[in-house]
Amino acid sequence: MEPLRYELHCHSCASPCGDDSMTPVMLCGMAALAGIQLLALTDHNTAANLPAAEEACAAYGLTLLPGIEVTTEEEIHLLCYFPTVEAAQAMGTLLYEYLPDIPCEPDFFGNQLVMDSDDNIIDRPEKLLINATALDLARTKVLAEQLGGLCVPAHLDKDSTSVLSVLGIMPEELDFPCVEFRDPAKVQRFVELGALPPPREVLTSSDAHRIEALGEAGGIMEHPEESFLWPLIRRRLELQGS
Amino acid sequence: MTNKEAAGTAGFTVLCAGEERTIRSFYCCDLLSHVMGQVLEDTCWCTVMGNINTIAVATLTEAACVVLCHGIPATEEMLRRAEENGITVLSTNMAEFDAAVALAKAGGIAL
Repeated sequence: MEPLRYELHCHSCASPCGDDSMTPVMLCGMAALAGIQLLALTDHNTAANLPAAEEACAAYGLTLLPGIEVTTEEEIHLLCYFPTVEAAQAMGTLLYEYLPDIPCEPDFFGNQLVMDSDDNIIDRPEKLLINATALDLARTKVLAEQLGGLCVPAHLDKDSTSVLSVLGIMPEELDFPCVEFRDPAKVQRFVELGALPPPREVLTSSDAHRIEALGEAGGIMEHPEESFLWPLIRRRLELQGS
Repeated sequence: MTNKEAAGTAGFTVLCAGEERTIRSFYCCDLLSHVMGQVLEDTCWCTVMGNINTIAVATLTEAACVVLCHGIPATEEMLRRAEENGITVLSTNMAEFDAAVALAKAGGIAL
């Protein structure tokens, strides 16, 4: 298979920190303009904008990989990718139950807008979605995998909300063959420090919260068949073909 | 005791001098989501979380000040945001609980 241009970590207006202009339609359109072929929308603890994103991706000729960026109990961000929007929604429903009962204050955190594929607001979830769920890292991984998902620890080189900033080292008992770095040049340093076993695969995405950030988005998978995420990507390509 | 007076207590240094506020209680915790749900306004919050999210939570909860404990450094981003939001940030080599006790004693605040 040809190399694949991907963007596997970005936020829509359902994330309170995501710009209101990041509607699923706008996001998918901008991603298409930026030359992205495989797009994962990964809002904080919600799959609410994935149905609209799936429709928009189909319209723009992109492949959507349904995703959620989960905040674990340890306040670690874990990217979870799913074979279908329905599987992601099942995870989203579960996550909402495990979020603390703290409402989103839009003036402080921003709006949480759920949109349809015509850019209409159809819902505003009440609970603050960026909060930590009551699911720890190990349990989140198990739950996502039970739904057919695969997990990638987010931005390991970030000084907050990453496995390495919160726990110091990658827990030995958890197997994450694929990890995300903002700057892949930093992988070696963490491996040499003994904080991270050498990863099989490193992904670099934009973590875009604003439309402008999408222009510089994503990375290239030289051999998509060899990716840790290939079982999901293949499934999505098949679904798209049919 | 005001956050300004707390800053003058032995063992504490000022990383960012924000708006003057009176300390009414203390809280020691590192999980931001927990602090967000529990902390009352005018709290002196002792933590090891030296990142920008700490300032967001301190602003939201109207904390009197943040005390970074164990000599943990603050990121530049954190201090820039603290400056913008008028949040006082102190630093100490003490542990969280010891820092709260030291400030409570200095200010005559009941724990």
